[in-house]
Amino acid sequence: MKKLLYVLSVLVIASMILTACGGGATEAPATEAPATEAPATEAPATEAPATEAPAGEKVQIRWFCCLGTGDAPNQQEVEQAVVDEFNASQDKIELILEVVPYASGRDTLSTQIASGAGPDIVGPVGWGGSNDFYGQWLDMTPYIEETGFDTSIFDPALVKFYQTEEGQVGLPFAVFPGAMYFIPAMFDEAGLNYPPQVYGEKYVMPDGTEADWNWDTITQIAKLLTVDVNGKNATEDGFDRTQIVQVGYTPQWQSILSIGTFYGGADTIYTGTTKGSYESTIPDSWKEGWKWYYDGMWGDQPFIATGPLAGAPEFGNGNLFNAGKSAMGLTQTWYTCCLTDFKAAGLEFQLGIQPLASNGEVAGRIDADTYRILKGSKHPKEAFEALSYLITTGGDKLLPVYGAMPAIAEKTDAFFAQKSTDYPFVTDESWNVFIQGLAYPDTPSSEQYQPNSIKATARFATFADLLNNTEGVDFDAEYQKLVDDLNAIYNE
Amino acid sequence: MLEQLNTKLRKLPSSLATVRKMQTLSRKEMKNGLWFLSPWLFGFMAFTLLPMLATLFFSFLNLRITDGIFSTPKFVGFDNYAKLLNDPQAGINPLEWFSSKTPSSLLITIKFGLIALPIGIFVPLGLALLMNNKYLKGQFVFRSLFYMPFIVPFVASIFLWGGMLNSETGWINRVLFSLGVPKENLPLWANDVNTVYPTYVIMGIWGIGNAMLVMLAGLQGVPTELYDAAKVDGANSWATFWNITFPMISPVIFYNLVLNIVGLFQYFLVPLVVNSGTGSPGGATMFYNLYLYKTFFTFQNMSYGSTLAWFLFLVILLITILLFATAKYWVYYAAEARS
Amino acid sequence: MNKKLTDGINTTFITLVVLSLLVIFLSPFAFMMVTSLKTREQISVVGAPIWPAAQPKYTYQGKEVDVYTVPLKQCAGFDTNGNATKNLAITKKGRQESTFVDPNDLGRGEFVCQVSWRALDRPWIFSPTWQNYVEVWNTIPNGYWRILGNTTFYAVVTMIGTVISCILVAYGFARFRFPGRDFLFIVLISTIFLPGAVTIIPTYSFWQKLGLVGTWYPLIVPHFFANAYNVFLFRQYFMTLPRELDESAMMDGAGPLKILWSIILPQSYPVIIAVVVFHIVFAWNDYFGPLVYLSTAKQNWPVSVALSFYNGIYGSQPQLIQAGAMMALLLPVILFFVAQRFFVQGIVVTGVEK
Repeated sequence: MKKLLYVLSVLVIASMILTACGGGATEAPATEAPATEAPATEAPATEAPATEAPAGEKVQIRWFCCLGTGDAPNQQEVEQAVVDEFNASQDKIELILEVVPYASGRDTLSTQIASGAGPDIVGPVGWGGSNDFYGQWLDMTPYIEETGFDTSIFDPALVKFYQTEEGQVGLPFAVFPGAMYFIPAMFDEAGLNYPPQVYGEKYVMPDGTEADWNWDTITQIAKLLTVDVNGKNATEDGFDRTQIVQVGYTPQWQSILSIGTFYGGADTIYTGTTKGSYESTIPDSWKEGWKWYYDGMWGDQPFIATGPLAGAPEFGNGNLFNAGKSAMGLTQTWYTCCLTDFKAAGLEFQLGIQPLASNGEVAGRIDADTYRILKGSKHPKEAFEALSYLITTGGDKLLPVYGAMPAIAEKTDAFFAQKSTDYPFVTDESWNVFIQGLAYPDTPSSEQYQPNSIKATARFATFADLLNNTEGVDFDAEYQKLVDDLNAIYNE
Repeated sequence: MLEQLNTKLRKLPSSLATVRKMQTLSRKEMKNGLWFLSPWLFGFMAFTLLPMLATLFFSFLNLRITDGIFSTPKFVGFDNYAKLLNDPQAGINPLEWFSSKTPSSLLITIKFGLIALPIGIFVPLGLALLMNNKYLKGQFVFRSLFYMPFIVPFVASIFLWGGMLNSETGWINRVLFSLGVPKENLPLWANDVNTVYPTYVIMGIWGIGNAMLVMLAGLQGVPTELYDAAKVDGANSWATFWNITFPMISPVIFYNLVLNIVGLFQYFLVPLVVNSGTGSPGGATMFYNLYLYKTFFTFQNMSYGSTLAWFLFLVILLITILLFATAKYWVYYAAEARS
Repeated sequence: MNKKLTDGINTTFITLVVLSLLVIFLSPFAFMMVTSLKTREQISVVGAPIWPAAQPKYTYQGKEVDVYTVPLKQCAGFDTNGNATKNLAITKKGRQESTFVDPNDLGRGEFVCQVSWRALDRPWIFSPTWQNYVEVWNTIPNGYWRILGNTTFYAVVTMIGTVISCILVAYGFARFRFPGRDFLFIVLISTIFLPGAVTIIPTYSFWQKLGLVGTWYPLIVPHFFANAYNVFLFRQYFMTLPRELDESAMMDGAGPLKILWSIILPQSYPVIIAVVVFHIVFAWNDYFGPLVYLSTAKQNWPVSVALSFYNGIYGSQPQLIQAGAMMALLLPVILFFVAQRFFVQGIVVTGVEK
């Protein structure tokens, strides 16, 4: 009897092991916490663990990707190829690539830094990604002088762009102007004219009248382009919002802050200089924009995919334009990295201009990515040498695969040549929209630094999540909550 | 009285030599015992005790992840613990639970437990009882099939359930709709405050094959003489269950309960992946352990995260001690009863 | 006769009940199977049937166009009262009307039908994409074969480590008396309650300092130092074994190890098999340990981590994830099927004996 009892308890404990540690979606405790999705990496060619230092004179420099783009399989191949080329071209430095998917990039980097084993180079990373590690970046000025790097190949304004109180924390590498991607076939099917492709041009509505290419116009067209399974568009009676097969517009992979910027124009969102004096100053035009966005998803005539719809596998798990589910998508050049399914399905896209904000001016955005060096790097000089290779020679291969326009003016043609091979159906007029877009940066960037940056960004993300996923939100109340919380967070 | 004393005396070692032999034996036994224990002792020191103490140490500092753990410590004493007491998100003060704007993480975990724990115990139990039914043909096959989903890799099952429970395009809602549920009443699953806990529970039910198997083995171990005796006494199936089955398997249930509670307080992965760790909808999925994870890695606050972790450990320990203490009231250890 | 009938009814009833429960319980599996046979495009189509279905296409004037089932009465040049439908290829899509061509009657040329093409039925054809499995096999980093090898390696080596160390430690707890034994046992049990977060960062730094992050060491070594669950299991089991055999062997001069080897273990095969099987299932699906320590070493990934490769932020491929998952299930399921007979029977037998 006793034995039976013990045996029983034995089995129970065994089940504990499994329930506690096993796979399956049970209420399983996580015995190790950090990352969510699996990081992917290219191991160095010798198959040695990435952190073991081989005996020898070569200085090891670790390049950590990705706090931004760069984790797609095709991008990893190119990155590794560039690394191999660099290593073959000299024998003082061994560059090692570590790729971790964007979703777990920040957390993995945090863990590495915390245990004193941070990498040397981090990138490509934009302002948003680097703000999370504000204060960790190396001032490269001494190394620029020491190695004699010639910064005149860049536009001086762009070099200044990376000078902060921390010093010269980056050098220009990649710029990503914005454009309105659209699917001509959907416009044809709806009998609509294509969006304008030259800034300043007006849009011709179906009834022949001309209108500014602003958000009102886009709203009208997008409603006509939002179709349910029976072929009815959002303006028609009997439109079934629970069976939408195509939406008119998607802010493809935009943060709530860039939605605000695109709608209302760039602006600083806080004032104050010291802790205790910070105050949230989100412009009213952004609030309007967010309300417009919310109505676009949950209003009577929706034309933007709601959160659940956008996240469904049918809609590409968030990558709607790629899944061919959105007639228009406003995003940056880097999005050309991620249209492989789109192309494989035989679809075609073109590019239109960014819209005018409510104040009548073009509200464009330019993302800028570059590589940075962590302050804790043990070999900053060698790290800088590797970095300068990446942003010059390496850029030839890297920029196209990041969907980035080069910051070095003379490389622009090569960039577009590469893009044309990837997407032969895109016309020159379309590519030209990007070049025109260089004149419309968002200053300050929608990814501007905020005090207590990480928490503030997280609070915005919670707000966005609420808008995306909840019907019947009391918008004004939630907006006020947001502002109140931000005021508290900024001054923590 | 004298006889008892005599017996007692006789039991004592009669000579010094025996005493010494016993001492040597017991010393040898002790040495051997500890020797066998050494792998665990060493591992415990290195992988459990030291890290735990390190984390405790961190909780008295002001340490950010970016400082690195080997930086010069900045002591802040009990500041972090004071912060914990007043932190509305962690919500460890029960007096604040119903008046605070922010849903308390601790309360969320408890609320979820109220739904998940009974299901985690009674559903496998029910299933095991069915499996154990003498009229069932092919128990062998059924057992394995019910166990199978437990082995599915986590990434795959999250994708699977995410797809099926999608409120717009998911198959479960489509089936419900075809069964006649009107469109407006279709549950929003993971996006609705009212249905998000049931959604998580449904996702978790897939893994009960394991608990079911264990309960089944427990049921099969109940000696048949007891059932025969009950039948002779004329007991009906309900009485049989309450008076024989349940007590006999109560140790199994007890340990299952303890384990589920431990798992409950460490629950964070599902809300992290399914609701992107934002705690939505409405802050209802910011489980304590998720908040801990975010503090550590998202907000990069290592010292406060360490504080939260230690508090969690103490809570779990307390609950488990309580459980063990109350166990004797309902858990029937046959061995002890007899001896 | 009557008894046989009621028995028969009972059996059928119960079996049917369990069977229907099983079907509901396993229906996501069916969904998994079906998803693994679709292409990404098929997954994207809203309103597609649940089985892998492809819409037929027709090549017209050098372009591939979709084929729909069109009610002919809406089309120009057809009988407006008929109810016939035909499968037509769409050449120009429009909101109110679309242009079609009949693949079987090209002579008719193109004609217009007043239909909303999205509302048309599609003549789905069953089209499973077994290629997905091949694609996973080939594209998963370093090859699926290697990934399976990694997983097996991890499962088997940790199993050996944990069985050996837990048996030793449990033996120590079960058969030897020494001061502090019960206290240490309680400490052992309380480690079960430890939230992982309490130890992760210092442990990670420890391995980082040794330069072993990215190798298997951080994952395998701890298993050689016993863990609370298995020790508890073995200890409880050992305590039910009568000491007489031990003692007689001791009289014969056998040392503790010999006793363990030749007396205790042969009586313990059910619990050993149980631990082996449970541990292998656990290790097969262990996600976080490998994720944290092997994230930078793609060649060492086990299956559970490798599947996430298809879940990149820029393009998730559910069909590949499910195909990979189906392939990953195979081995543990077979193992479980084979072994369950042994250990469950073993437990039952020992139970009944008592």
